[in-house]
Amino acid sequence: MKTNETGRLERDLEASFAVPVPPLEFDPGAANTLPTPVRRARAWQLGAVSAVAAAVLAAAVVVPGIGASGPKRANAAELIERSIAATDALAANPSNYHMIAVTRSSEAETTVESWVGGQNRYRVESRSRVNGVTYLEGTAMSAEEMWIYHGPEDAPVIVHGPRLISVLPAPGSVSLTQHLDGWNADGCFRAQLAGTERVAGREAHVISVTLTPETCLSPGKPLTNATIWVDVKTDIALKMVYEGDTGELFSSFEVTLFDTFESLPDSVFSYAPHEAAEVMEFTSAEDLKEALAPAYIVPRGSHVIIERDWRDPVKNPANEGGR
Amino acid sequence: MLRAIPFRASVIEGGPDDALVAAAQAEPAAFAAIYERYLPRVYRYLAAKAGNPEEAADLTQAVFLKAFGGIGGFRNGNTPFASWLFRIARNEAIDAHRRRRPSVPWDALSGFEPVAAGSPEADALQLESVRELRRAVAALEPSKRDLLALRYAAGLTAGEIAPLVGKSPEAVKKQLQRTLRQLKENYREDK
Repeated sequence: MKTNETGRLERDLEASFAVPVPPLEFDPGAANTLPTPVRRARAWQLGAVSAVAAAVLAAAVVVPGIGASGPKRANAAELIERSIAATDALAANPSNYHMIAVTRSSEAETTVESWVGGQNRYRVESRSRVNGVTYLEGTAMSAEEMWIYHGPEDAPVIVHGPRLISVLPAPGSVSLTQHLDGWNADGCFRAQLAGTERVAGREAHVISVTLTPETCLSPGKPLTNATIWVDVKTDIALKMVYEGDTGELFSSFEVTLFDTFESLPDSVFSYAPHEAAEVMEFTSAEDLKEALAPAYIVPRGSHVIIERDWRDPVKNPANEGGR
Repeated sequence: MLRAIPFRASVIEGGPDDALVAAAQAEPAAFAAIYERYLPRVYRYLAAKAGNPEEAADLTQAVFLKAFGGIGGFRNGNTPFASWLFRIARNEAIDAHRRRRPSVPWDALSGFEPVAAGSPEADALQLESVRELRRAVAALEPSKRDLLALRYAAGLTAGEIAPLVGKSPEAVKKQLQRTLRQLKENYREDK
């Protein structure tokens, strides 16, 4: 039975989500199509692009320790379930690790290097190669200080100051869990164990996933096959490859280094700019906001957000030449 | 350019989802009834996930376009229509996260003020209370925030959420209870 307090909280929650709905009109013409026939073309609910986002997040949230009691026997579907649960648990309760992961798509290659030291200390750096230039995005949070740096790798914008923000979402805060959840319902796929292989020096189950078009109902993108390598010890996905039905690669994610530690020193969660670099120091949230503007905003609360895509000089001419 | 689907309200408008879906599969114009029924829930769910009202509106349009295009393939077996629709919404939100990179401002909802009615004082109190609650929700893990959005913004039942998250309805209920308990501790502490 619900308590009065729970009922009140539920009403408050409903109120908090009850934003006004604008008078949107539906324009089916924009779809340039009529509803599809029952036996539609092969399609996969999980988009290749979002798969990359999932992969990037996996690099940011994966923490060892789960499943430390040793490998358990399971079929492929159960392993995927466990991988979902492990990712959830690890995001909620991070421990100490260092991980490097690479995501690839037809558009870009991004390397994400993460150090995590419990709930409050982390350093996440991503390097993406776009149009022949390597761009760096990084945040480093120790107990006392924070660094945020972004821009071309040889001349990033760097800000430094006291730790004013309690929580900073990791890059690409889209959960691997959400994607695996998406597969894991309605019989949208058929998963089979395909042995074990080593990934980043760790033993991993190989799971081969294929679309079952008769039952996969949601419209989506023509992704038809995936292979997932799940760490035997932690149940975490160490590698994922997404392909189309003719074998073309949509995207991939691979952990290339995964080390765990009892503890990590604070120095790991700091950034060392090169000698000639200009560092903008801040002492207050307002300073920080100014230092990061206009690429970043610091809203009420605790998150730092990149408001615009500063990498795209076409959309953001002011960014040309290093910003 | 936006235009409304020519559709007259009929008996199926207030009927069960099955009837609406069957009608839309037979006659595209009947999709308007689904749109009318689900627009507020889809928009509010996406508003909880998006960075601003404009993005939420764009995502809402994208969700209904995909649903319109795919409804011919929907078969009402074990999956409720609402679960199917909100899976599309959820995936749209995920793709939007990716595009927005690198992070998602759950608590930066300044553009989304809740509907308030009553005296100015009461409205102000309610708004402040809502802001506090949003801060508490923002502190939760992403999967828990998503669960709350599915339940209280999208208005899905545990049975409808279950296929979306790959769990049983009972497991969803328990997870909701645990999340509410956690939220209660954080939220009421400040009140």
